[in-house]
Amino acid sequence: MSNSHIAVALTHSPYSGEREGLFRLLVLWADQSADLRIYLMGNGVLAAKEGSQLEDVISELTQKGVVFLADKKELNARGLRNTIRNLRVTDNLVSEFVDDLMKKDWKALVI
Amino acid sequence: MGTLTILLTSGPYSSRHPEFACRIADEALKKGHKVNMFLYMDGVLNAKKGQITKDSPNIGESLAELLKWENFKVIACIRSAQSRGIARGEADSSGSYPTDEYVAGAVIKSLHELGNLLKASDKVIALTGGR
Repeated sequence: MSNSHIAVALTHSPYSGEREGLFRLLVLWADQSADLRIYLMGNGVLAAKEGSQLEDVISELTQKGVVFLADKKELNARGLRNTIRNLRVTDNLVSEFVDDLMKKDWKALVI
Repeated sequence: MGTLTILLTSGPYSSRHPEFACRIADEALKKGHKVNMFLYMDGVLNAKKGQITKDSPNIGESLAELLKWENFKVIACIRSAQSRGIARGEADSSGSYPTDEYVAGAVIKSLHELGNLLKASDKVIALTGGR
C-alpha cells in the first residue's frame, strides 16, 4: 500500500451497517503508508462529531497523516458545531473529491 | 481529461446516492471529463421523467439537465428496467430498448454495455448499498 493514494467518500452514517469496520481498515492502510483522504458526505459527517466513539480512532488516523474533509452544509444541517480536531471543512467537497478521483495515481471508494 | 463511469444501484429518494452521483457527474463534467452513469437494479428508476418533489432535489430533472452535456451518457440495464415496467419491446439497431418513461437522452441497453463502459473508463465508482 505504500505510495498508494486513496480517496474514500463516506456517504452514510459510520454507525450503520458494518461501516465502523472501515476505520480499522483505514488504520491498516495508514500504517502501510497509504496517502488517504476521507471525504465525509451526507450522514458521513456524523463521524466528525466531537466526543463520538470514533474520535479516538480518527485522532490516531490524523496523527498518521490521514486527512478528513467534511461538507460545511452537511455539518450545519445536522447542527454539528463541535467537530473533531484537524477536520478540514469545505464548501466544495464534491469538487475536491472529483479532483482526487480523476488523478492518475489515485483510487477512490464510495462507501 | 479522463472518462469516469458511475454505477448507481439506489433508487431516487431512498438514499442520497442518486443526488451524490449527479453532483459528482456535474463536477466532473465541469472539469472537462467525460462521464457515464450506468443505472442498475432500483437505480433504473432515477431516469424516470415526471418526478414531482417538494423539498428534495429532483433526480429526474437533475439527470435531464446533465444530459445537455455532450460528454454525459445515462444508460440503464434492460433487465432491471423491464422488471420495473419501464421498458418493453425489442432493441433497435443501436441496442437501445424503447421506453416513453425516461427523460430525453437516457437509454436502456443490455448489461453488457456496463462491461464496455468499464473497459473504456479511466475511473469507476460504485454508489451501491443502502442505509
